[in-house]
Amino acid sequence: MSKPFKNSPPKWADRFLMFFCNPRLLEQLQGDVYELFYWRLEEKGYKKAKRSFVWDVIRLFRWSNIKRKSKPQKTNNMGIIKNYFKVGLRNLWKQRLPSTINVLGLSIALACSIVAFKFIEESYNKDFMHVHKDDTFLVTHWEELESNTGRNGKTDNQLTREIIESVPGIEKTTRYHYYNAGTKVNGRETTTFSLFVDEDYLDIFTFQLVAGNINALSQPDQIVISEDAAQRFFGQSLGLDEEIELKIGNEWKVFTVGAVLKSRTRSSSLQNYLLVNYIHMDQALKRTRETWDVNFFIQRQKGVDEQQLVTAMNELLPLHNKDNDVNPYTYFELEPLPTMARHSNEMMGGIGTAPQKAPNLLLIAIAGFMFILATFNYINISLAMVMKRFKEIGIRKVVGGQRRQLISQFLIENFLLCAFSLFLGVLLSGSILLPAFNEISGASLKLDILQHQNFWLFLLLVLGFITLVSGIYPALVASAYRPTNILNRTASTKTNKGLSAFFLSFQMVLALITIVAAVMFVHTNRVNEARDWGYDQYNKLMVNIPDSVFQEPFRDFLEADPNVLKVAGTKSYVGRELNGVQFKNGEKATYAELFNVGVNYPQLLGLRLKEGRFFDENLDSDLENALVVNESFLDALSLTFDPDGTFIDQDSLSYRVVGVVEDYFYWAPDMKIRGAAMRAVPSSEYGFYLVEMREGNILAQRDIIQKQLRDMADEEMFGVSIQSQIFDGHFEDAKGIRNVMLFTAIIAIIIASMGLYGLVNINISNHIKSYGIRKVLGASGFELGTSILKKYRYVFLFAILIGCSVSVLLIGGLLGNIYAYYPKIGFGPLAISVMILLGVSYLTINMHIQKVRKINPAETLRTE
Amino acid sequence: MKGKGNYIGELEELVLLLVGILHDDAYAVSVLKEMKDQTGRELNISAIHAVLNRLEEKGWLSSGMGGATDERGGRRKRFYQLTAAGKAMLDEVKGQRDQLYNQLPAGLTYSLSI
Repeated sequence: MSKPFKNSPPKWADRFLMFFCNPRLLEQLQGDVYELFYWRLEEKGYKKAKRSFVWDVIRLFRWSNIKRKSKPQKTNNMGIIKNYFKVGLRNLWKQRLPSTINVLGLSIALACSIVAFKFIEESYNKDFMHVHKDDTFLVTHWEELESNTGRNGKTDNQLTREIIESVPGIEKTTRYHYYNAGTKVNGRETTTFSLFVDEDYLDIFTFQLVAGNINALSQPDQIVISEDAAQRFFGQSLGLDEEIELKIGNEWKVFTVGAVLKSRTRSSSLQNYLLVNYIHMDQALKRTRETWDVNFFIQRQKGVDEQQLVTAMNELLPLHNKDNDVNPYTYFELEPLPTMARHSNEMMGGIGTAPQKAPNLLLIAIAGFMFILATFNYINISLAMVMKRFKEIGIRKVVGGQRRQLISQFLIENFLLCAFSLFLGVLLSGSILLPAFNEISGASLKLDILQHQNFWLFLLLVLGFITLVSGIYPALVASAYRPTNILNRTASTKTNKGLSAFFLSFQMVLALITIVAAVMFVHTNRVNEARDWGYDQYNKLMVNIPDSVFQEPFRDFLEADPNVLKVAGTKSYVGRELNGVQFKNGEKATYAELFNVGVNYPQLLGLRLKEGRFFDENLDSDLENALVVNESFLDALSLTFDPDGTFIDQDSLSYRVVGVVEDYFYWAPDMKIRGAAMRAVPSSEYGFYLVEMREGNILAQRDIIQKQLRDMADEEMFGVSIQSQIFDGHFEDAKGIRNVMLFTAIIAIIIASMGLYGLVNINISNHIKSYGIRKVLGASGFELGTSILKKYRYVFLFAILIGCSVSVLLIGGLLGNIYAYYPKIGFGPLAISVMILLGVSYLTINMHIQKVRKINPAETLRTE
Repeated sequence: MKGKGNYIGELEELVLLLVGILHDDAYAVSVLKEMKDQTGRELNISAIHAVLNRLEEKGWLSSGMGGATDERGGRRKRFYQLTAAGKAMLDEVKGQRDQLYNQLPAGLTYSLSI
């Protein structure tokens, strides 16, 4: 060694070794690597020696050399953990019924929560699939309205051209105009909602191409359709290069299909059913007007500041407002694509649908409910399962088990079971629940949890929470008992019983609330469907008059039909639309609906007159300023009917109320009836005929009349609708909510009764000896049954009292949010709900009672 | 005897032999150097330690801390010695080998397998 200690080994590696190395081994190991270092230093040089030294240290970083806090138990530790697993699995198997209940309950609840979570998530995350989403904006502006300012999602068409010309930094633009065009394919004529866009539409937004040329829109005579549209028009084939005729304005034009796209999913607000070059809409609209409003998207050049664009656009406004003083633009605002749907209800002419608060809240509430129920269920059953293992704890403590070891054993077992449940829950939702939900709701939710960080976080939190809550109690409390007490059977299990009763009561309360909800929704739907509409909605058809030239022939035809009793013309009809306007009675002002109807319409509809009269055909003045109003109308304006004349103002007009009718449903029962007035219009304005038919099959009558009328006016598009069906859409929606409620209640009651079943099961097997002794002493099956039932009387009493009062508050609020009219939660529905809960609980407990009745007492007393 | 019992691996056998050869001067680094000199095999120090530990666990080696030297910065070495059980093991393995070797048919020519 020529120059000892001059070149020393790298310090950091040496320190690392000292940091991790077991102190007992440090001296020899450090010595060895030093020796090797100096040996290599001489043989191979400093650089190589240094590198080898580092490598040696890294290689020494292995389990057997690493410093650990515990005393030398390195072989034991693994064994014990393995043992925990083994004991845990054995325990699960020994108590397979409660364990299965635990796992199933939790996984079902989790699966439901996942579905709810995905649904809500999707309703908030729209249009994320478009590649240029961060650079694409809908051009919106704020404008001065009569009393305030409002936001508008449509832009003046001429202004859009000026923006393209004079605003720098814009990469691509497209207009977006939805129009219901007449469609002719292979001689079959229908109408199709068509989207008129500029040729860059498919560059700005990302849609998947199935066949054809993605640039087809640059050819004005080509159109692009989605797979759904292709299937509708051409059946099996994609229809590429086939012809489709569209009626734009008044003109039929022939197009060929240039490309077929994958149909859009619900997560895209932008349509792609049938895309047409905007030129055609431009031509059609220019014939009748100078300019119009249209949705306008821009895609900025990379790196251009949003504010810069807005500033440049705002500079165009003074000139624009000079020509348009009706609703002058105040300033522009760019709406980014990812938030467009969310904000669509904050502006006029927005695109997409904003997430609806009510259903989302409902789903959150349901998912939360289920989840709490299952968690409590889980905790409760695992608590009960621990009671069976007190002896095991006692013996382990006697042979020297440390408290820490007991705690970690319980936590590990709990963790295993809980993790398995979560896994099963994810599987369940992905394979059964989500597809079923998609089927029912028409959504297209997919479980893509692999890329979903928040979701993992959520699962981890749940796992941690449940493991801790259900594991900590047995782990801490049970392991704290003195072994002699446990083995003596003097250890108190009272606290545990109280806790378990509390959890069980809580579960029952939750289950009862969901049952009340389901019962109430079923009840409300029934009541609402049977509700008196305030007029006779049966045997009435609404015939749409396509064009004023058909007024006479249609009327003649209808009056000649032997099945038709009466015909009345009208401009609008009840249930078709709303038209809120402001009425004034002196200082008092209120909004009310104003319907333009025919003179004979109110009478034929069957509105019930309270005071005054209906319109009179022979009085010309009735066509000018007469109103037939409902009772709420007068109430809202604090008026009473005066036969000599009750006058009210609307804008500059003064009306005279000639008649008052009972309140009637001019809209579905989810909307509260407010003031409604009917105004008579001259027959030249009639757009519909209200037809009263003879009693009979109204559907068949409708079809016959529709067919005959279509023969008369075959070029035109119109329909005949049935008055009693106008709210069917609403009732269908209500049924959907009802079904969700029923589903929730069923799941909730299943989980709750599974919990009950598990608890009773454990309770009985804990006291199986006492039942055996009782039987030997001559107790009848009935007495045994009542003694089991008695244990739960307070739980049920508590659950019913709390559950009923909470559900009156909670479900009442929920109903009030969803329906404007609903029956009060009275004694009846509550009694039914309680009966259901008690019935299911009794059946559950009864299964055990039967078992206890049948056991052979000798069998139970012999064991141990 | 704990662990995997009586089974001895090839590397274990080699290390055991080297410890026997080095006699009073058998410690991790000297085993490593000796192995390199005698067989050309170069192992890292961590592997040597692992094998030595394992052999000691099996009872074929015993060890004790020994004198300090300069090149180790005054740190002591852990010296290993072959135990009777270790020697018996080596004998047994050798006996087995020889017995098997002797059963090879004599006087044959062997093809060069490529």
